[in-house]
Amino acid sequence: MTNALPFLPNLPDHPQGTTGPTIKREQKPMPDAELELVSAPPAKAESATSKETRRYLAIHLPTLPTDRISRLQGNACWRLNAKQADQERPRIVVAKIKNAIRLVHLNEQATQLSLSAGMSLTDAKAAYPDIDVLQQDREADQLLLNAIADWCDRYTPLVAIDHAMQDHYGLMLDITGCAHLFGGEAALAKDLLARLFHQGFAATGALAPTPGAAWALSRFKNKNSDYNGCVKIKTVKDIEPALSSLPLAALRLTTDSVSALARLGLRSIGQLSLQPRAPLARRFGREILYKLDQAMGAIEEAISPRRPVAELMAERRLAEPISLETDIEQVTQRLARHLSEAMERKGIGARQFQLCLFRVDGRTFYLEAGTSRAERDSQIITRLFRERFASLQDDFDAGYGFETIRLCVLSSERLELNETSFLGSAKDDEASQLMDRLAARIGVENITRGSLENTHLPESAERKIPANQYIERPDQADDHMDDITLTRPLRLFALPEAIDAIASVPDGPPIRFRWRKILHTVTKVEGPERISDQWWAKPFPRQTRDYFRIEDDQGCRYWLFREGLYERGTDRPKWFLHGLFA
Amino acid sequence: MPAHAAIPVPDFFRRSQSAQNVMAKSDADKIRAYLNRSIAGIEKRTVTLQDIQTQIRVPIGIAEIDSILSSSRQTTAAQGIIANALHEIRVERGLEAANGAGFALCMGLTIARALLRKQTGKTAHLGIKPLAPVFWIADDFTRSEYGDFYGPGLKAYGIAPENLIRIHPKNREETLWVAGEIAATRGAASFCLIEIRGHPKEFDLTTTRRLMLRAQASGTPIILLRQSGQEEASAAATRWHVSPASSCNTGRNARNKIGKHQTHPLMHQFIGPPAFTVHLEKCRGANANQMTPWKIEWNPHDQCFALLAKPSRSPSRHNGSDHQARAKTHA
Repeated sequence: MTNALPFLPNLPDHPQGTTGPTIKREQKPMPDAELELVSAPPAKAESATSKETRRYLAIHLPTLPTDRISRLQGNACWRLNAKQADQERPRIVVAKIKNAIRLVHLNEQATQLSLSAGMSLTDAKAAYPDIDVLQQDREADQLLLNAIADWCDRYTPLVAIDHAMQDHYGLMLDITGCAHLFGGEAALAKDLLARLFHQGFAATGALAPTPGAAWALSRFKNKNSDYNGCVKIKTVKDIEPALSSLPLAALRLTTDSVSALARLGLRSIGQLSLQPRAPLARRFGREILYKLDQAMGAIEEAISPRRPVAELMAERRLAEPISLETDIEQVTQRLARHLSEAMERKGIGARQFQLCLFRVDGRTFYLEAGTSRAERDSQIITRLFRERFASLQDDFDAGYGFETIRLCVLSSERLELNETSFLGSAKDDEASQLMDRLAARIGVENITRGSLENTHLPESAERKIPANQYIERPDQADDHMDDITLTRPLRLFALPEAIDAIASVPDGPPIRFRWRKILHTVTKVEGPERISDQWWAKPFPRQTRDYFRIEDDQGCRYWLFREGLYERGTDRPKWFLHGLFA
Repeated sequence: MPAHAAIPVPDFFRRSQSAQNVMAKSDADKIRAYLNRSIAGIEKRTVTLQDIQTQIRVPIGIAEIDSILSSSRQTTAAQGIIANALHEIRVERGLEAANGAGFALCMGLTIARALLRKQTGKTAHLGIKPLAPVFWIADDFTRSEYGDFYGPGLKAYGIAPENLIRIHPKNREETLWVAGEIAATRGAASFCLIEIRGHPKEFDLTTTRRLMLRAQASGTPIILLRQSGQEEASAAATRWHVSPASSCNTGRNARNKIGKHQTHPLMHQFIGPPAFTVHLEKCRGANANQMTPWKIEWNPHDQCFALLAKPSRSPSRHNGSDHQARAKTHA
């Protein structure tokens, strides 16, 4: 489970007293049960040439922190309930800024009360003594924003979290090439914003050819109009008239720059763009002009998506949410079939798959499965995910069901058609598929191979490497099999176990010892083998150990050591049992 | 498993009558499988695993044990242990964990190598390179209680550390699942060692029977190592009770170890190669009267078993008479 955030609690079956639109899928004409094979939009490759065609949707969540609290106190869809929404009290979120407790976020009711962000808490309290005050919890807000971004993955694979300004929560979606799946970009934005509203978030959006313009419009264009509306700019040429009346803060400038420009009488973007550029750059640095150019589309700006963009993906939106494992498996198989056709056309095979399951209530599950060699057989892919489901059992809560399922190829390799050799490749196939299934079910980290290291220290003489990272070299000789030694035990304890031992002479081997409450009498001894720590490797080397091979009267063989040397190391050397011989 | 997959065309009817002994045996099996399938076809029932699978017997290298393992009517060449089957090895006490594991590895390796030689004619002498990896399934409890397999120590058992795939499931259900998957896959593992503690319900008669059938079908030897195990029923083809035996250092191994000085005065103080007291408790189709403990040694240089002491009626851990017995066997 890559992401199990406490995002959205389940929606109630029937929102009580709902006057607004209800959560019904029929509300939006969604292309139900439509199967689309989407090749992911190229992230940056052709951006220079196809600047005109890129479309960005900026989402602004102005009251995310207070919405989070309202959702926790009422239910997630509190905004739909008119009574509940009206009774919402003014609420402010405060944080300590420059040794004063100041307002950071306000909900809509608080905004109407002539309060504003940046005000000190004492002033606000003096004016409105019974206002709700909450401490800022940036971590929880960020988690929630991440969960919303996960949820937005259903619209486009390119979702970025907006880090332009602190304590401003927003998302940037690159919806190039995705809009037609939702009936056009306006419909997409409307659908997204409506769903956010249903989930109890105030959100504004803007569509523009550049991220900068979208950002500016989403925050400043319809500030006083209703939430969950969306502004739209068609082409780069339309950006300038749309932005000219907006304040300079819309350019994502720092407050210092904004106030410095304001002192010159420059308050709107239109005024700034009329100024000669060279003096501005000399006086304020390149930053301001850079941001301006980015917004206008003169300079390319790339967003950084949260997740790696899949090379190929297939998804299915379902008319009815499904929750049974067999159903999910069936859909997965159908998606896998589509993917394998696409992979065959491209001549590739996948090494890493990701299955995204979008739950009805907004939570998103990501399951990943890897293969040890390039695969494109839909049966094998389905089987891998079957093991993955089986391993999840308890962590996997279908809740009210999944409405969208997507299968992505995260990484791929060239795979020629019918690539088989004459030398028993069917056997290798089966073996590698076995390893993949095991890894999918019990985890890659639980399947290891050993690799010998060139060191004397018994604990580090063998390193565990994940079995799938092991590369077998056919020319690897069995050279290390030549020196067959019986001086190392078959089984080694990760932590040596302390024993009580009695030695006849201080530096000698033990004659009796007690391990796990059983007394053993020594009959045969070999040793000592003195192993010192690597003095150059650590600041405080471990004490020198004298290892003995021991056989007791019952025929069991042990590997014991004494830690520390008499008279030189410690006063009271301790005895340990480190391993067992067969 | 698709039942029709493994059946070859019955061209062996046309083979010459003067085939080798081994060939005659396997041909007979094939013919039997073919006839079984035709009968099943006539009777319109599905072909069961018993119909199509034959037992592959391989010798473990000690003639006396091999003859006991296989029923008397078989020819000398077909004597030995069933390779495509589940075998159970148990030890009673925790401190014997390594003895059980060592014997399991030796047994698995012997079977795997004999199987390879029989099927392809290749020999995997020192090192296990021509062989597929060995799978070891052990949960975290087993590893912490009895210790992890240690790469440098594995060499003595002919297994390169890279060739041992260690699988550590979270619980016993997963252990069983993993074992089942490996047992069902043909040729992925040269053998699979499952290590569990005691007699959990996940490894009862039914599940061991399932493992046994899968091993039969895929030809993968499966060894179930029960730590702190009792004498309980399971579907395994054989069950061995392993206990420690004091090592013997005057044999061929010792000569290899300290050179030509066969009668070094200090020799008796040295520890010899791995030695086991082995009691064959259960073996399908064998005579129970003959089952008395043997003392067996593993020769790490030649990678084979050697019998140190002939079976005696009373299981004895003292090796007072062992030297004489060993001298007889090696004479």
